[in-house]
Amino acid sequence: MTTHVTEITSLAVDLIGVKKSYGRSVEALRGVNIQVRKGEVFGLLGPNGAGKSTLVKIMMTVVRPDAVAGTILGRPIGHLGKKSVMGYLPEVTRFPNYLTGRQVLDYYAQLSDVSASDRRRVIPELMERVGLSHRWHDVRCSKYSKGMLRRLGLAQSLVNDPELVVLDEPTDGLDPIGRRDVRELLTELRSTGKTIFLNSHLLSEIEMVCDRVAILNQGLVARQGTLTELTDHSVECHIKVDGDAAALTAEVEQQGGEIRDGMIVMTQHDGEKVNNMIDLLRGKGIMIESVVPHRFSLEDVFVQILGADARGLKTVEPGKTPPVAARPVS
Amino acid sequence: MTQVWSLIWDSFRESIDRMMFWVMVVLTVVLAAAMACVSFDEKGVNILFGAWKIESESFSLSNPDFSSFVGTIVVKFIADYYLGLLGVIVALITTAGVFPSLMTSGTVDLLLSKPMSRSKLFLSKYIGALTFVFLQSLLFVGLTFLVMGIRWHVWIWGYWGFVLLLVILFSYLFAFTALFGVMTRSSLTALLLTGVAWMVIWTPTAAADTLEAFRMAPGMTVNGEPVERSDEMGKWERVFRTASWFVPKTTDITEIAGQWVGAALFSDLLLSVSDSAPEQQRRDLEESREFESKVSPVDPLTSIGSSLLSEAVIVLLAMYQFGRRDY
Ligand SMILES: Nc1ncnc2c1ncn2[C@@H]1O[C@H](COP(=O)(O)OP(=O)(O)OP(=O)(O)O)[C@@H](O)[C@H]1O
Ligand SMILES: [Mg+2]
Repeated sequence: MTTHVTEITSLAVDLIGVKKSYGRSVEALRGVNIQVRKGEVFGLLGPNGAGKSTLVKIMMTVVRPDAVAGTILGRPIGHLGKKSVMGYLPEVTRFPNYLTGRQVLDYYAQLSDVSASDRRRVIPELMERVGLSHRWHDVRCSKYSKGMLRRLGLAQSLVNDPELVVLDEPTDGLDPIGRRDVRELLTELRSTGKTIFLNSHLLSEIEMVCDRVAILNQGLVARQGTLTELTDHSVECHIKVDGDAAALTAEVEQQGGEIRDGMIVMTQHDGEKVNNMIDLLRGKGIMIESVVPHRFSLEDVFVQILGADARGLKTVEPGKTPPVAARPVS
Repeated sequence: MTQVWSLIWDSFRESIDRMMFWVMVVLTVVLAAAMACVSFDEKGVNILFGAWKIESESFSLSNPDFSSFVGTIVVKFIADYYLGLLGVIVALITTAGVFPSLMTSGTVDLLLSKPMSRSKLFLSKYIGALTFVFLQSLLFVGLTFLVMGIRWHVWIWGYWGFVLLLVILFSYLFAFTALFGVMTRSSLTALLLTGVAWMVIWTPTAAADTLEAFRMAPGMTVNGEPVERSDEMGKWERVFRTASWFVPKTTDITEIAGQWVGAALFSDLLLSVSDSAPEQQRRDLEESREFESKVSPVDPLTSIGSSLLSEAVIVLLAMYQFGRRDY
């Protein structure tokens, strides 16, 4: 089914104020705003129970939201025409175990309205592409290993040549080679212009493939932006001195730094303060061994957000740009 | 349409993957084979291809009413025990898991993400179960029909109607299995609750029929005591009859089955073979035939029509439940 509608928006996913409670007690999403541009790989990060799966289930109409505004591929959530150009790999998949891998893909392709000729052409190709070798094509999927089922699931999500692919922890259960394969596949998909929405708590993975990320925590988006946007703010400078830095605590704190692991850490990206600190140290005749600028990894940002939250600091309200918390937790 | 077909086809593949289905197939074949071991000639019954012969006047080709006689007995037996009981129960057992297994996480997520509405998914699965039962009873009726025809020269064309009747009776009950399956996500619970529902919907028709029987048989006695007729009974009969309009009428199905095969009244049959019976027994039979002919026959259209309407209400309820919950 093709719909001839020109979409004015360049956003593949544009969701505003997504709310969802399970029962009275569990507020899984508390007003989430997510914007994903067309053709990018978007990573949704968050600790266990943050609401990541709930969000993608809402996108795929598996879960009904309490409140939502905005569009997916320019149409409201659940638009059937748009759903036929979306692919989805759920967190857990359970395939009919009386079907072979090939039959599984054929079944789901039929449900996605893929024509018979396309199915015949695409399915074997896709199975090879996700690393299911020829001899597994006609084996019942009840005989597949966990990783192979994950690969089959991934193939399933691509069987209708979707514009937007939503993957909930695609590399869960895969070996390192499998993970690398998936990363390569994602990069390849991006190069063909597909938009990819990826759920994961594997930060290194997200760092390797994603253009933009959002960090979800306790049902709210704590950060959203490109990788550089997220990590750029968060540069600190580590000054290593000869001798015990702890004796200088008072001076260091006055300059806006802190002592950590016997090192002086200037927690803000502020050249002037770093220079002042160096002047101060030199003035005292202290030997500086090294000055190392330290760019945060995504993990640092992630831990920082969780830490802020754990210490009861305010999580960002929907729609506001989050302030950069000053203090990473080590 | 592709979606509906592939869902129905999948329900079918799922069902034949079940052990229960093959048990049923084997039982059907065994029954048909057993029936094929019996044949009739001019002198009587011939069992196991001549291994054992029983001389009988009624059960022989020389009896002019032979075909309606044997056919009616066998078909009545099948109507009462296969159509009305065993076949339906087995069909319910094989299909009770349809909705609970559809709703397990990992299955339902994938299906709901496909471009079709939840009601389409639900109805396709529902129809899938009916189709499966249709094929199952087609096999049963087809095989037994052929055996009766080829071995006994009894061709009862109305017997094919049993296929449809079984599916209809099954669907009355499967509506409940679907509803309870969607609500509890457990096939066992759904099955047990369906049993309870079956008893509940059976009550009004059964009670009304019993009261009607009392009304029609003035001389009836229970334990030797004559039964008193009262206005009270008439009132209750009307109450139950009215209540029966709002539920699927499972008991009517076997009666309709009897009508469709043109089965003679059972007492007629007995009368036809009781020439040598004692006088008293014959009189009893004649009395009960008189009574049977007085009881108002079930009208298939109104009975099935009103039953399907109430089934539709239950299906809608199940569909609503299925559509509004989160997975
Ligand atoms: N069907 C459900 N019924 C009740 N509560 C639910 C349901 N699904 C999720 N939750 C709750 O909603 C919250 C968010 O769950 P969700 O699965 O979206 O988290 P997640 O970010 O995907 O976590 P993970 O990284 O472990 O997959 C959790 O507190 C969870 O307990
Ligand atoms: Mg999850």
